[in-house]
Amino acid sequence: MMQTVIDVICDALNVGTNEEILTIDINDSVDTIKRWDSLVTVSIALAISSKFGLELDIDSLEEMTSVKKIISLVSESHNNKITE
Amino acid sequence: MIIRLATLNDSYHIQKFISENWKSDHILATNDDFFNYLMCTDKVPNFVIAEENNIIFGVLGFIEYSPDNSSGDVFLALLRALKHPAQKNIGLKLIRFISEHYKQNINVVGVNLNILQYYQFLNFYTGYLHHYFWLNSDSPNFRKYCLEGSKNKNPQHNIYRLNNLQFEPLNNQLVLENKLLVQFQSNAGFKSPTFIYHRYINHPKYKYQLFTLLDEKNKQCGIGVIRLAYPFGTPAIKIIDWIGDIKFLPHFCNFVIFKAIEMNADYVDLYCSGVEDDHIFTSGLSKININTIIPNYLEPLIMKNIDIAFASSTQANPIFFRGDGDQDRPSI
Repeated sequence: MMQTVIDVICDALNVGTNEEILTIDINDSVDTIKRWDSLVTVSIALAISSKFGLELDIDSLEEMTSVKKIISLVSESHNNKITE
Repeated sequence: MIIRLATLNDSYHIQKFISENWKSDHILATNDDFFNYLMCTDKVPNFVIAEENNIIFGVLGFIEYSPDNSSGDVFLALLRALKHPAQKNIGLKLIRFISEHYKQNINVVGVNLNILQYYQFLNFYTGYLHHYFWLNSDSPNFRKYCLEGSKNKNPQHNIYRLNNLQFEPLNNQLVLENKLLVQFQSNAGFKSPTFIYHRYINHPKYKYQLFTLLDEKNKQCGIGVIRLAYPFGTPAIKIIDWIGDIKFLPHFCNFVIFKAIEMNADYVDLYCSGVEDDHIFTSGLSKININTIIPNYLEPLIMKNIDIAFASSTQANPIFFRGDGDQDRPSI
């Protein structure tokens, strides 16, 4: 799952840009990647929702500021779904 | 950060925000009367604003199609949000605020393609208006609309009159008195007679021409709206709106094409969603293609085909026209 989340973030960062293709690792965040703005966060959220069948709200977006936090968010939501 | 509806005293600050953060010569920033006409009700601006310590960080305008009816559609316009050091997603929060405040349909026509995903994230249906055209090969400007080397056929000679339905210029008073308007409209933003009068007949900048369709018994079946534009000094006809039974839309388009032939206009075009292509094609209009450029931005003229995106909170396949929302307005 971790690699899938990283791939999703990577795709969202590379769509619609003429800049060099970016690779990321688990330590990246909005502070280390210049092009990661709120629009990219929304793209990531849409892709994550679709890929993992999660329902994310605006408050979740505020948490999605780093690769680690997104992995953790997906992981928690996924576990909650399984428990339900 | 507070998100709230604007009040009477906010007009100046909203216009200043538009000037400083959008375009300094934007008509809504520079022209108080037009701002008041398009974006205010009883001089109160129809805006949601995000502010902190009396500084505006974001604005979202809206247009109510039936201000006196709480079930009327609301169209959003003019979303602009700044970066804030601590607050994220101000634009999304403005849209969420208005969606919670107004329980009716929330629509947007002309969504900036960069933020279409905002609406998708908020579970709006999204899509594009289709662009249809008829190009007059007898116009002296014909080649200006064709990409170099393209082999555009001569579409004029394939046009047939659909039938003998009568379109008459619309008497202004008829719009206001028109009770039939209610039954015309389904799956489209409901436009009250008062709204139509305000939006088209009373427009302070654009001169719209309205026509009504009469059936054999002289009964009104719909209202069509057009506007003449002059991309190269000679007229072109933009179909702006059709308010009525959608089965008669091709008849109206066909009527407009013959009007264009009569006046040797450069072209006729239509932006519309929610209607089957084949239905539109019976009028003589074709779908925009890579060999043809039918400009949408004429002030100043930009020779480019433009995609117009829409979002709707409740309808997967809404019928929208370029006259919806704040699409057909001067920009400076």
